[in-house]
Amino acid sequence: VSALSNCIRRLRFEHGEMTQAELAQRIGMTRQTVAAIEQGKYSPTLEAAFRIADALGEPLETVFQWSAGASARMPPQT
Amino acid sequence: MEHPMSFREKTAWIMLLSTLGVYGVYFFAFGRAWMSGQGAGFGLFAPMIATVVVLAIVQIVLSIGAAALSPSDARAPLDERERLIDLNSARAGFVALQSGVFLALVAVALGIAPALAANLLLAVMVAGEATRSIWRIAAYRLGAA
Repeated sequence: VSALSNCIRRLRFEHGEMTQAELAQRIGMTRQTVAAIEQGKYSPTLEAAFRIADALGEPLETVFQWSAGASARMPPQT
Repeated sequence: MEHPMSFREKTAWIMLLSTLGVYGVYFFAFGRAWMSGQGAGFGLFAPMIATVVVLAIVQIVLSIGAAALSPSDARAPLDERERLIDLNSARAGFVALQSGVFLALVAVALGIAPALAANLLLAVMVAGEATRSIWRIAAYRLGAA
């Protein structure tokens, strides 16, 4: 289970029912990659995440949520 | 909503099916010659080169056809997920190739005929390429990288 979740789908509809293809075109990705990100099957790079948030006109933390409990924690670095 | 197959996935299918189809015909012909005791005289290089040429033509024609159906997708550069899929599939193909080459070396050390050894190595290359294409298709189908 990915620790990274998002509400891209809801935000697309709140922004004029933007389609996956339209969002993909705005951020320079394929529609299939946008679909994979929405479904949590692919975690985007930080740069792509910022581009998605920018295209949706929302701050990054509104679009993506990190759930630390959903993934194995790394031991603290010493 | 059902979406049409992406251009990248189509090209992966083209690579897989054309590789299996064209080399399938070649290996079938070689197998028949070998079983009838004429494998050593099969004429290694001419059929191999002809197979490679036919495969290249088939792949170029089909890729041009797929690109003509979705020209904007064909012109678009790979995005980050597609690059990751390519890297992962190349790694999977390389692992298959390495494993196959090791097995082929064992077979050569056991003293198999040179014609059989050459075709075994060719089969290993085909298996590596097929593994790469299968990995790409699976990644595109499953949505993961």
